[in-house]
Amino acid sequence: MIRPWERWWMAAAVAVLYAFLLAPIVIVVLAALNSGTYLRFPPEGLSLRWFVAFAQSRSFTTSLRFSLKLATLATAASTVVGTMASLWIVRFSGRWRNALRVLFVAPLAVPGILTGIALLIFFYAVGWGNTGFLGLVIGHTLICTPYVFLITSAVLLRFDRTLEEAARNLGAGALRTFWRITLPLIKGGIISGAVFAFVASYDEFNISLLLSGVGMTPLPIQLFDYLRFSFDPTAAVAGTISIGLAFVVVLVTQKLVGLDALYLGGG
Amino acid sequence: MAQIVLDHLTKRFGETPAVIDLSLELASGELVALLGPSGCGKTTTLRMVAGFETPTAGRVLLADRDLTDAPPERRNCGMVFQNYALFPHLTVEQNVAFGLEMRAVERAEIRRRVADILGKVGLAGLGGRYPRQLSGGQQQRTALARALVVNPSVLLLDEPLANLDAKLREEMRFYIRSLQREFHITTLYVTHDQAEALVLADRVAILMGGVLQQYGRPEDVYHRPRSAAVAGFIGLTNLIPGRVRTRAAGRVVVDTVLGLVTAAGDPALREGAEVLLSVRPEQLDLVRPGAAPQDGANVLRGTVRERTFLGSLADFRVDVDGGVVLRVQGRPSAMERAGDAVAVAFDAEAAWALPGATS
Repeated sequence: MIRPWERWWMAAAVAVLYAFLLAPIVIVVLAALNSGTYLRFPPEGLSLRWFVAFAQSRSFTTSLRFSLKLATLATAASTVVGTMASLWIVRFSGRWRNALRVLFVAPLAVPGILTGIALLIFFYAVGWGNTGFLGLVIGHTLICTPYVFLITSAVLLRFDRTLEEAARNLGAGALRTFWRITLPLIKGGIISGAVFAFVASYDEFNISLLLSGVGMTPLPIQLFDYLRFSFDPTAAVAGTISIGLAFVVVLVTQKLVGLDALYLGGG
Repeated sequence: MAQIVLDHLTKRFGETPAVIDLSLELASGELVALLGPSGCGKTTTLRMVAGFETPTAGRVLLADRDLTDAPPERRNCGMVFQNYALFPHLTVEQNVAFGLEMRAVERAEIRRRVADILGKVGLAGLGGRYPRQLSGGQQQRTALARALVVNPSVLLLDEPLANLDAKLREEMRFYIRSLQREFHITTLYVTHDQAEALVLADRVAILMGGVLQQYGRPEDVYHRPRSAAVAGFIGLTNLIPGRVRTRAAGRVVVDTVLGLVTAAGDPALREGAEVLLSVRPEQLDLVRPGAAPQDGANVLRGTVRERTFLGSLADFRVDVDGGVVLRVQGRPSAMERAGDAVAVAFDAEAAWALPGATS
């Protein structure tokens, strides 16, 4: 039996944990609304003047757009690659399965800065030193693929393959079985993976730092450059916009995947 | 005309044989139960018929076509899976319509046939539900409807009742039987439940260790088992070892530790052959020790060791003179108690001599 004081203790622990997780977000948002000239907390007064400043700053709006474009492409590429890889590795790789899984997830375990340096050396070694945007997309895809791979694999591992056999038995070929049965049922996992991939790319610093060329500055790099010379709340505004973006993405997928998860659970 | 022919079918997984040289023919409209303990190769056999496993050797013929190497989608066999394998993201209607869509049937025709079959299996009005909103029995009916709606040439059932509770299982047995008769569809029914096989099947094929042990009508398999393994697997039986002394007119006289016993036996049994007598507990009668035996009946004397009440039956263990314990099942009103001296009587027909260990 849980005694009242145990319940109280647990509630307190959870509250502290949430405060710890949420405090930085609250502080960033409040700092963005600061009416003063410096990035500080608590704010001296509330105003939207730094949001206006952000919108009027060409370098910030350009890099925001650039980050979104990069994240979109990297997400698309890593979703396709990660899904295909997990399908093959979960189902057909046999005794190599574990080794291949570890290899695929390696970009998550290796420090980003090392991956970035390795990519940089690699691109120069093979003569792609000036691939520019393509190099960035490749680098980001490398970082994003493990998210799609991990979540889709988890869904595939508990996928009931007799469903596919039933479809084949009813006259569907292998390809139609995939489109009509397998894909709709693992869609939830793929979308969740894609969301993580998008956020990971949008947030990626190390690889961008090493691979971004002139005129290609993702938002995290722009923020870093900016904060080195000016310590005003525009940076907090960029953070607030990112938080808002992440929030919207999570809500939208909750709406999409949440409904799908019900179907998945029904199997 | 045989609708399903398995011709010397063998399947090995690596070095492990799952099915060994299995030959089986199912006549049109026949329901055959493939019966055996778990791991005997019955599901592997079914999966070879459906096309999910490729035989190591041998052929599979469905409706006179050799389909050994055909992919599952080209075999036109309806299958009901043990877990039903209903598509969770599709409604009952969409599940049932799936096979028709794959056959490019016209939309209006699909709607008509789906409504028709849902009516037949008693699911009219539930077409809009998702599988998770159905009871186990309703899911079972949906799976049957989905398999039957495409007019398959054969129906394959893989332990279809294993996931239902006891009462529903009993009901569904008769339901599946009547549905199968109505569609007059050749059916291969995999089960490990011998009662299910005996109730449902026109013929029973008993598979053990991947080898076909016996193939015949339920009565024959039950009363005339070909081996001790079959006798022991189907129902309860008493096995008494002995040696054939004489044989005449379909009867054998067997010399056992209990004395001479007259029994029915395989015509191939020779005098002097070692045999096992199989006697079903319900074919033994307990009689008063002094009673005069009927003509041709065997009577053994003994003592009741234990009596167990089984509801519809009373179950006795009787120590028979000669040192054998016999199971006897009779009416629950039987008065004999533990310690009573009794005689066990049975007809020559009730005992079946089957080849013993050395022959």
